Amino acid sequence: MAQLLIRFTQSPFSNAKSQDGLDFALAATNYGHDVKVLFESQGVLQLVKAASTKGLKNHTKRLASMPFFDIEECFVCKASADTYDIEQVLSNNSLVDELDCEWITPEEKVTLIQSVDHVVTF
Amino acid sequence: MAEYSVLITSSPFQGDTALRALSVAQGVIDNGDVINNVFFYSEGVHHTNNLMLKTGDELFVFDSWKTLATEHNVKLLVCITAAVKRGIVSELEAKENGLSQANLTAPFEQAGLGEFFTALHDCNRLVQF
Repeated sequence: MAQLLIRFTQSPFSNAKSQDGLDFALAATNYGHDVKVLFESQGVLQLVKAASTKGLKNHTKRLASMPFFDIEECFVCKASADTYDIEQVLSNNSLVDELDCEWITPEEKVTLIQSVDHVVTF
Repeated sequence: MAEYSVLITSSPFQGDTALRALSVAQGVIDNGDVINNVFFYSEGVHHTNNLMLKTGDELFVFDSWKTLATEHNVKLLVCITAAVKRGIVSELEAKENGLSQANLTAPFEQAGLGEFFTALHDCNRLVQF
């Protein structure tokens, strides 16, 4: 079993990475790996609730399914949320609560990265 | 001896990423370490399209991967879900869907994320490009 950290660094709809990254994370736990997730840089925007759009997968709902795939440890880069000035938005956001996200500083981010076996970035 | 899994998620034309990926793969082999598999996922599946043509003095990734696979017996796995939606199909999908052409051929093999994650249990290093 490997400890994987999946970094989400892209906004939810700018390219295919957010969706592919989530598929990657959800598949990993099915095959006996331990997955942690970190939202940083533009990736923090994935936590802002988005309405459904016909023809696009609802990223908010798909993210909310992570606990059902045994992805329990979610981290949010506080500095990134500050950059986009969405700390207030995220602190009143049920998705952040559902995922039980932990806010971390850049120093804690380094410790987190060092604590896992593999890091994959989307 | 280290065992590597190489994950390719960037398209062949994203700066020097493909060049670095191939150099690392060659370096791993030169060091006497092992590449368990190269897994093409997300935009990385575009590396495996056999309808690409070589242009000028640019790196031709398709041939480079093929050479790596044939000379060093490296397994090249292509995520089937990511590939088919981007138009990278094997003979089977081409036939089943009435497409005029298949563009995924050996040594590239279709696989799922399951195969990648199962193989990852045997790897101590994972590198992503």
